[in-house]
Amino acid sequence: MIRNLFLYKEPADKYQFEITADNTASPSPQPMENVSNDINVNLKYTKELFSFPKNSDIVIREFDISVEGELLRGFVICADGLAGSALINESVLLPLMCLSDLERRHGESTHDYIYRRLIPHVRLTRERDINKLLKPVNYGNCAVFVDTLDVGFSIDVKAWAHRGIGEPANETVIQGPHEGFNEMLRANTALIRKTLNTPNLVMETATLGKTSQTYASICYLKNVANSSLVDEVRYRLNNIDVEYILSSLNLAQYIEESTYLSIPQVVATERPDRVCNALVEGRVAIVVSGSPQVLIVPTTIFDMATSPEDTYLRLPYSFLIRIVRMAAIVLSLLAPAVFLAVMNFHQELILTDILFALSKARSAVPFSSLIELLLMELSFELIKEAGIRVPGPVGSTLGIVGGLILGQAAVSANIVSPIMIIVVAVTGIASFAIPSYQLSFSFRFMRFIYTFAAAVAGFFGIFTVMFIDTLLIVNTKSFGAAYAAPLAPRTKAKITNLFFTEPIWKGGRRPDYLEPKDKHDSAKISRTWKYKKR
Amino acid sequence: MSDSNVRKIGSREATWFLVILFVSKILFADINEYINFSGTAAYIQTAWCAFATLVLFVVTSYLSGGDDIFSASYAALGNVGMKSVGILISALLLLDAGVMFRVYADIIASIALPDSSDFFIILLLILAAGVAAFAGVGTLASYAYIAGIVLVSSLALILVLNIPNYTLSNIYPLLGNGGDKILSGIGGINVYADIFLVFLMSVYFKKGESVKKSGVKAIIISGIVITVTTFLYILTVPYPASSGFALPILEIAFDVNLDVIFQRAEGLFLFLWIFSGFILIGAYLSFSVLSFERTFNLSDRRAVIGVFLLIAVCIALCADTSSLKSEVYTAFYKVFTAVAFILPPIVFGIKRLRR
Repeated sequence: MIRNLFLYKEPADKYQFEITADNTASPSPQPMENVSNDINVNLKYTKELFSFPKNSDIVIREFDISVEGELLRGFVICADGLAGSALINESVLLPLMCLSDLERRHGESTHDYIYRRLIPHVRLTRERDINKLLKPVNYGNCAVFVDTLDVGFSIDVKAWAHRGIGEPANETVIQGPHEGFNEMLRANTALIRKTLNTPNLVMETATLGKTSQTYASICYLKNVANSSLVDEVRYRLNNIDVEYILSSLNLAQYIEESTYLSIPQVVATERPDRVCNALVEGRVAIVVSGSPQVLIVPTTIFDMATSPEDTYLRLPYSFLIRIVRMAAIVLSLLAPAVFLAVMNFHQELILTDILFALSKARSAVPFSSLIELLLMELSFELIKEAGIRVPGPVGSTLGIVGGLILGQAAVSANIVSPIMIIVVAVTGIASFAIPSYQLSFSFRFMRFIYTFAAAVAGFFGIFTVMFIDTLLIVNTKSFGAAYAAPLAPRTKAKITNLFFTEPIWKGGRRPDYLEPKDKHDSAKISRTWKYKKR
Repeated sequence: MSDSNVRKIGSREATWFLVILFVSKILFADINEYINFSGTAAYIQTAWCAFATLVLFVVTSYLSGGDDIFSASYAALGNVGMKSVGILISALLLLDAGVMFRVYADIIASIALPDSSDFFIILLLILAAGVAAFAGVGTLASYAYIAGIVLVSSLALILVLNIPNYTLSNIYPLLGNGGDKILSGIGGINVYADIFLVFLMSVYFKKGESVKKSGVKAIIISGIVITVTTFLYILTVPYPASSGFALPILEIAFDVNLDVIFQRAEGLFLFLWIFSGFILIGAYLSFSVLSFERTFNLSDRRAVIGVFLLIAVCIALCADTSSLKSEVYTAFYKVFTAVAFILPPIVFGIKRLRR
């Protein structure tokens, strides 16, 4: 040890890893298009394609079947965890291995025999293209190959573990359905179909992403939705040149018109009832496998500001809620900016007593009102963001600690004034009253822009941003529909129910800016019982 | 300009767009000009001017036969004539936009931002007008439908809040400076000079929507608004004091005693002033660009917006408040009004004669 202290010793080489450029070609099998008659060729290609046996979750089970006394080799491939073993055993292996020696009809080919009589499964397809057979293995199907046959069989045996249908996390309502979408494409489409219960509902399949080939469904009512709108949705989905699309929220960003605008141009909802209402109006929904959010297009800013619950509540209640919500929207967007403008530029506008009270409250604070406001806004955003990340019970504790204790401490320490706490708290509460999470995000962003504009030029700054913001909103389109319709451009649709509600039986007309095939969704007098003579 | 590139507008949108352009004039000193001329009967003069404008417009729109001024000037005067008309309109509107930049900036600086430089305010105005010009006349007209209703409601609110200050005796003598003065005060139609813009925007109208209908409705609505506002202003401020204020509506807003959080209603006036200013300047700039685009058959109007903005700012910076009051400024508006009311009937008239 003493020697080590005084004498130099070359340090031992420590292992270090650095990523270097990888110029090796990615291993891929010789391309093959169709199923071969030779089972060995099919087996070799399948193993190479799926990197078997390196890929531990891929299962290849070889077997023999006996057809009219002749033994034929075969194999089945599936992905462990995606496909159900019991289903494969019962619907594929058992009949093929044990029942295959039935008497064949005269002239019946082997693949017809297998297709029609041996595999008792409802979702079974025959395919010559080997890649079309093997691709769905990643989506819970199994593929079956039999020697001497130039076709293979793909069987839907999905049985992966998934979340059940629960309450939508971000769009809870007190009254109305409590079902929400989950990550299963077919569970989601089923929720829509069973609610609408009409053969006019079309669910076209689309695949997204060149590599991921994520399944999606384009849903619309064929007797209502405008054909050009459906074509446009189809066109946009088919023309996204990207390797992977893994979520509907990713897809929304690929198909929306203006990326740099703060407002969301596609509704993403977890509520089947909201999707069904949209389809009835003539909109198109896009369900993406693996996403609990279903996209609705086209959309307007007024759709974003409404909640599905509005239609479930009786007129007086929903009227009151709409008023409160409008106030919330204005407050969440403008409260801090107006406060700053009044405090820094337009003191003469407010009553003298209030002005004195505000000045007194701020007298001990060492920061300018802008810095004070930004500090509070930042703290609020931090609490909000941290509250999402931490587990449930701790999250509410964090809110209490952050909101009450820190706020009180900040006021006591003269870092912020009590009035600023009130302004930021009212803004925060108001932002939670906005029904759309996406719109509330947009307002969160725009609030800062308004605040900076107010800090620079008072009301003039606020009005400048407001003019540009609203003009951009009017200029925006969502899948061909004006984003501010039916107000700007003014269409023939009623505008009273944009801001207030109207009796549910007074509806009748579908939004005319969607140009639906069928303009009405109910008779002019929907409550016929009231006027009909018995 | 291909049809697919333009955002179509309806009659209601065009109406409110024009209403904003007309009514925003009374936020300036135009009411004072009426009062200077006709005294306490200024509101009768405003109604008379609205009527005269209506007659002129109906005659001009009858002559137009639904054509816009560019196609009519091409048919009437040939390519050179059309280009001359287009350049004249484009230049006049650009000049107007530049002057308005300055006027709005000066007044905003004096009533809301006394410590800020004019250039900074002009910069924000440029930003708003630039976005408006990029959005185009179609979007601006669509926007004007919401803005028009909101702005007229704000004006109405100021007038309603001012009810306690109305004094009925202020309207005497009923005929003000005399009936002959009222009749000869037809020069007050300069408030409606922007009506000729409707002959520029017919390409934006939806199929079946009428230019004539929009113009008539706009003149009637704004005639009512301007007459009522002038009448209520006269009720509030006695003559001749009423002829002395540079911003009469601001004066009314000052008189409002709110006493609930806000002391007075200047905030509402500020809102009116700034929003109408943005729309007015945005409209002048957009129409100037539109005229240039139609005259030279440009494929993309956005390419020239930057240059037009720069020229407008240079005009704004050249003019200062004192020169705005000068004879040059007054003469410019006389020329603008004359062109607005005389050029379209001449062009449409020649076209009809040549047909």
